[in-house]
Amino acid sequence: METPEAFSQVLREHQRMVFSLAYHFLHDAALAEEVAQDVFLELNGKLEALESPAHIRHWLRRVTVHRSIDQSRRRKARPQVGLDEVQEPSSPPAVGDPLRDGLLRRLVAALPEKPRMVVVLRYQEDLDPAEIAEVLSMPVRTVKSHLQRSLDMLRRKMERMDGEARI
Amino acid sequence: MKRILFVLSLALICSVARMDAQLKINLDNLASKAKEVVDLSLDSAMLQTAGQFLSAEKSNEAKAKALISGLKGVYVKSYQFDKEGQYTLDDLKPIREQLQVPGWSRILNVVDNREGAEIYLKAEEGKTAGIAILAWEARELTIVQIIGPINLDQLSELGGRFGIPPVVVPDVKKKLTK
Amino acid sequence: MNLDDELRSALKRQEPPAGFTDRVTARARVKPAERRSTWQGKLGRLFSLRTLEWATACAVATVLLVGAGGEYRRRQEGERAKAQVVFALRMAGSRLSFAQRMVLELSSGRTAVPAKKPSAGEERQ
Repeated sequence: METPEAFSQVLREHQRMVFSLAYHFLHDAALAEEVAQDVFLELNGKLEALESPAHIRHWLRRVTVHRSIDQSRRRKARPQVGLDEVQEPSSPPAVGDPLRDGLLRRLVAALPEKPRMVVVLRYQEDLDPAEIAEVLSMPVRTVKSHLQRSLDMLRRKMERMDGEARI
Repeated sequence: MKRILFVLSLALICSVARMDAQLKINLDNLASKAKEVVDLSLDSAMLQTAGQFLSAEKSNEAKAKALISGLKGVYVKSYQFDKEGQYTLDDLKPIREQLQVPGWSRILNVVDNREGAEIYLKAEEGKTAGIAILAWEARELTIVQIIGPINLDQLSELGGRFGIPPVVVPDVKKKLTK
Repeated sequence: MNLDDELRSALKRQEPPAGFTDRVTARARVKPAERRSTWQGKLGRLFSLRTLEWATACAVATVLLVGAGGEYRRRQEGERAKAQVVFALRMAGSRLSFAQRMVLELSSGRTAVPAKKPSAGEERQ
């Protein structure tokens, strides 16, 4: 795969995945676009070495994940907020309200770095824990632990806000 | 003769007032150390021209068009560095001094380790006449000034448009409605 | 809807901002040494200016369409002004968002409870 047309095709096919991984992790569209652009530019130089569509997809996912984490670390010198310290927005939207998606995205964006990426890979890309572990170079049990704790916290927060909304 | 002097004085006062409206930012020493510099000065003529090319049909452009319609200027200076320690907060002192005069009030000041942000509002006759944002991180320093009738609600409405992340500023909104 | 479904809905893939493909393709044509670190370079990453193509098209169009030359220049200047304004608004919005994030994180009470250290066997962050 050497031609500009081949690159354009790969770009069109995978731009949603790459941009969304960065966006859901960084919660900043401008930064997400910078990361996404850099990922594709790096791909452009390596396309010949990638053997198959599956290999390309895997490469893109892995590089996007690591570049997003790097970008997050560059911008955040302060310690991570603990799982129990994620602040809740003041007015919870009703179930079925499109704003609920935005609320969940904000709660996810406030998770610490590694659990956040685990959640994004699980629910955006539908990867199982073994696949997530391979992308993040992390033990499978650590992935499962991050996932479980994050879901417990998110569930508690959403249930609490739903309870408040019903009052 | 007196009339001529009066008109000249008035012109001088007006020009001084116009000059004072835009912050004087002299950070050339930082520009030489930065790996990337953004320096945008958009006066009212430029904003009017841009407004003509923003579509009223597309919702994202229509919002931006409405936002800039009454503005007199938008100024952005941003410096990105390769490593930390390329600037100090003393570099912001001359800018802060210009924002500590009557008419300007600081509505947000948040600092954490090597990062921070300050937001100032300028008021004239009880209405907002401008915003200044100073934001700094370990390797980046940005100053934004918007001159004209704008409030943070308008800017936050652009959230999600043109890639601007959605902004909710609950505490600031409370302050603005006081 | 349970939390799994809600998370799938919230985290579904989204389209990148309009013009993303054009911007990447334009950057891919430029050699690394030529990518300028100026607002134009940054603007070029964010907007589809296609400077070289525009410059060539402008030169040809101006020669061929003498009467329309003024109108073409006006349109070019207008598009450029529009791109600059949107970029400036993006910077302002981005810095507001940054300030808001800092307020949210600091007011969450982080200072009262230190961040948890990774346990043995977990990858260091």
